[in-house]
Amino acid sequence: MPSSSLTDPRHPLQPIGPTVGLYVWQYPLRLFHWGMVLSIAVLSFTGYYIHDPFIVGQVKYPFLMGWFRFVHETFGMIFLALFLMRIALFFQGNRWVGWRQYVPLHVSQWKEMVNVMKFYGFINPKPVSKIGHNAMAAFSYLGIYAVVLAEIVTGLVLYNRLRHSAVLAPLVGWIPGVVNVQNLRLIHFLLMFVFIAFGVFHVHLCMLISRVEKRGLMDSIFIGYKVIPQDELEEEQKKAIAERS
Amino acid sequence: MPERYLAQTVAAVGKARKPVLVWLQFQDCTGCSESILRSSHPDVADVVLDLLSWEYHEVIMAGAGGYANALLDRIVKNEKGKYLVVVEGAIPTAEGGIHCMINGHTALEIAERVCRNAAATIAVGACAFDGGLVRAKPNPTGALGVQEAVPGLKVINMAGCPHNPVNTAAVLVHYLTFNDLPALDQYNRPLFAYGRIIHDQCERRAHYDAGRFVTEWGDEGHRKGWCLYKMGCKGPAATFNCPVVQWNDHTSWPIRAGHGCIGCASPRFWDTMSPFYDRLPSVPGFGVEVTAGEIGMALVGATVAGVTAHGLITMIKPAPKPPVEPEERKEA
Ligand code: SF4
Repeated sequence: MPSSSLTDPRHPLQPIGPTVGLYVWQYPLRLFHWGMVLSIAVLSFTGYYIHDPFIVGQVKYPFLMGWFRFVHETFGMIFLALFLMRIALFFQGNRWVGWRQYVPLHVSQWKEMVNVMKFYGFINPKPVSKIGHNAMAAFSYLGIYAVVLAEIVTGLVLYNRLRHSAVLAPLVGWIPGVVNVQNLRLIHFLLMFVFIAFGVFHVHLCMLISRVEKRGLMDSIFIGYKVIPQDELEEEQKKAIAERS
Repeated sequence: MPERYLAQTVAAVGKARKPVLVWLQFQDCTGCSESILRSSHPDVADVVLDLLSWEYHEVIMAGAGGYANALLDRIVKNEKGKYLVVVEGAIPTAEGGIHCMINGHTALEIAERVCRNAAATIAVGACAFDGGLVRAKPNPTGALGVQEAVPGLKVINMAGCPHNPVNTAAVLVHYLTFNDLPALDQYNRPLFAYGRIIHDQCERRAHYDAGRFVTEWGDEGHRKGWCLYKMGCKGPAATFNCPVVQWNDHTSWPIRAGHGCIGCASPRFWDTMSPFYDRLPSVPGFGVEVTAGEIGMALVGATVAGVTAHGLITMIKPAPKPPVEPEERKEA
């Protein structure tokens, strides 16, 4: 490769072979992702305020707590809608968002997780590069979806206690009889921190992998496309055909 | 009950053959008896003399010893299936129930005999409802509420510590009028008294909605009657009709008096609603001094620290280069 004055000698050119731009993250998935980011941010802020109202004694807004609760409940419903959409994508979306990628039913997925952890633990210098998620990431997203579900269920129980919804009562009305409401509140509150911690991890690991892979990982969640080596795509195609038959 | 039923109620109560009422006391503090003695809607004399034939109540009855025992035996025998029984206090079940015995019989035996033969059982107070204070952790006597200790009874729970005598009197009048118990919720508490959240009926609610909170006992907000949410008020989690019927002849109720609700009519409230002065329960395994918020913050802090350390290590180690094709290596 001819060296040019445009390259930084400390960061030499890195040939990556023939590649294609592949549409990996369909727009409903990206909508889900950014909707989640927004609603988790809003829900965490308003939820924390509801837990511990830190603005006390002001006289300007006579319905301040009321507004916080209204916003929290509204975004809670958006959160629920996004979650339902994600469940639909498990079955309706493309190969990389389908449920098969997330549920580790194959030994190969567990082996892959070990390899991913080896990269994170500085044992392997190379990350596990996949078109969609690597097995570890996918499995952790499955975990975070479980947290989302727990947050939704506990939230709906608390909502139902105030609103006595005819739809929700038969669905979640029995739960406080099993787990006390105060404990449900505690769970609802503590899981918020799991989201925040997850967010920190998620951004860090995405930056890390994006930096090493140089395949446009960070871009892909905005535009949907990833830069994929031609041969990897062909291999994935073969795998998909094999799985279908 | 709507006002238009007044005539019917008066007629029914007047005509009714006064049912015999038996009031049993087990592991209790007599607070429920005390509160009904101080009730004036109706006045206890009215209840004892006019409404019911209140024949057995260890605290207030004249007879004692053998006379009292014989009276109870006679009621159970002669009035079988017709009398009402009020139970106050929890029933111990550990070590054969020996922790509460009257006249050589365990509370469990007495409850079995007296409640099984009654038309209906009214469990008054948190202890008779679900074991109350006696059953709070670690529950050394294996105490249970009536409906758990003696399963299969026709029972109505007047939860609360103590029961509100206005509600209990309402249940008695309802029984005399319709010969049946009022509509109950999933814990067998009458819906008319336990169907609504305190927070939704609270007189301090406007302060809550506006974000005006007491932050310390005796602070400016407390003196002005602001919302007690930040002082651990359990009004948002508890149901009862305190804000409406109030206590001591409609004089006041805890939140009006400046103390947060402790959810005393809720199931297992000593365990489930404590700590009474904190918004959320303590997280098991962390002790009572650590709040849920602190644990959450620590989790996030640890994550940030871990991620930063991980990031720094990757910065120090040179980023791994993608495999270089052999020809290119030759060229280089
Ligand atoms: S004092 Fe308690 S019940 Fe009343 S509004 Fe405040 S939180 Fe709700």
